[in-house]
Amino acid sequence: MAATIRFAGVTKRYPGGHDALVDASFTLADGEFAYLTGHSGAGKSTVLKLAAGIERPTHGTVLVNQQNVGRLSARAIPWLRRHLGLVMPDVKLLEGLSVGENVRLPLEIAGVDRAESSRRVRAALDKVGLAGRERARPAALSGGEQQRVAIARAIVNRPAALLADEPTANLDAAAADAVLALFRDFHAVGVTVIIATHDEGVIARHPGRRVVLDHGRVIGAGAGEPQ
Amino acid sequence: MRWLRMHRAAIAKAVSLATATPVLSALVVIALATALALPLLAAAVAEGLLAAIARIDAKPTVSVFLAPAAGTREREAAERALRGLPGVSAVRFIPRDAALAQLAEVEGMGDLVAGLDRNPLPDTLVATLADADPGTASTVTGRARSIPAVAGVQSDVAWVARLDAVARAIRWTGVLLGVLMAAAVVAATFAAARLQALTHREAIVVATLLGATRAWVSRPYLYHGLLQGLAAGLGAAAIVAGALAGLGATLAPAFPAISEGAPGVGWRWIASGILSGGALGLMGAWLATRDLSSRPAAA
Repeated sequence: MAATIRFAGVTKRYPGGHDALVDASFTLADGEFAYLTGHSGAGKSTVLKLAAGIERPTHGTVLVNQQNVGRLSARAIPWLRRHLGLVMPDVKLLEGLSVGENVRLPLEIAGVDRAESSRRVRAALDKVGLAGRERARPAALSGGEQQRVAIARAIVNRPAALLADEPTANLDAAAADAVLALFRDFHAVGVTVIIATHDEGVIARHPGRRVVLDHGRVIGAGAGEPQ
Repeated sequence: MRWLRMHRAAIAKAVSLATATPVLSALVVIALATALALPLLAAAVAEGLLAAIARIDAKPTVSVFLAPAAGTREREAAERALRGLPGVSAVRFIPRDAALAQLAEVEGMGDLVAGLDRNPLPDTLVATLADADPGTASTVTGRARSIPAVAGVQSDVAWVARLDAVARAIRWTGVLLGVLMAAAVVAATFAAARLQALTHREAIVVATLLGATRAWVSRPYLYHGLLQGLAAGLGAAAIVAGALAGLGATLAPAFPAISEGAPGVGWRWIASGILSGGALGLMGAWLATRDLSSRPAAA
């Protein structure tokens, strides 16, 4: 299952009057692999937060699989998020939990039984190349490994879309390529992937559609490179 | 099954919240138990006292003391007048010599009575009242004073009424203490749950972003408050049991009529303590967690 994400005339004004997004319109189809690019402060993270219901638009409509996220009740937001895999700075790995427990968290929240969740945690960690590291603490892992744990946690609940905010920040090129290769793998099985990044090197090595933002405005939402 | 699984997981988390800081948890439970024990103890004492008063075989009587100079004729006239008063069901005459003999039989009074030059006690008419209504006793007492040859009147139900009033006062004090201490228990569990939630704020934010509902986030804290309250209630019942046993042992020699059959801590008291503790603990935790992650923008 994948997700369609549509922004129609979306403006997001933060308290204090700063417009993070201005009249932004674009559509990401089911199973699309897309980058949100632009300078720091261009509005990339805001797009992801609006799609995940972390922020609400000031004007306009954000649709995720035909659901108007801005109009969802507080009770409905968690159910939306369970269909999304978030890899964001706000969604930290919890230091008090082991790698396995961190990855298991979305399954616990969804009420998946212990045996099934153990199977899925092992499969997710295997998928990101961290099989056998379940008992390790996140602090004992490298930056690239921590990012892979975050991805394992994002995909363990079989999301319709993966939303990643600067997933390759602070990683060397090899680690960044490994992370991007994972996103490519999930995209290959039909998951919609949206990555906010300003790392042109990564985009060049792993081409995809680009939605370009500049000071909160969408200045390009082309089809991008062939996928 | 899914519902049961999620509650079982929440209870396990609640237990881990308590065991993560065992000393703090124990101190909180002790404080809550003490707060719960005070009103429970007052209520138990009041109930015991009222029950003991009900058990006392005290037919309401009014003792009418005749003047030393009163002869047989005056005594018979007084007896007739007394029988004629509304609310009087029987009148018994106790001659002064019989009264002195009764006094001499009281332990420790024999030597004192033997040393008297003369009998200081008056002839007495004891009027048994038809009911224990304080109004009846008051009316009979007042009208008996106006009967000729009567030197004094004493209501023998007054002390029972006073004891009854004391018991009721203790009960009301218990109710007042109950309200105040309930508020204290709710405030304490509120503060404990809030502190726990603040300590785990990062985990709450992450869980919310991963799709946790408000119920999922707050459930462990609610169970923690409930468990804390139940433990405190059990502790309060133990404190009340100990205190009542101590009080009983102290009062029994001096007040056998009251102490005999006074209530211990039965299942009713234990259940009251545990249930009220649990309910108050749950309420405090609910108040502390009702706004957790209520906004979608929790991060």
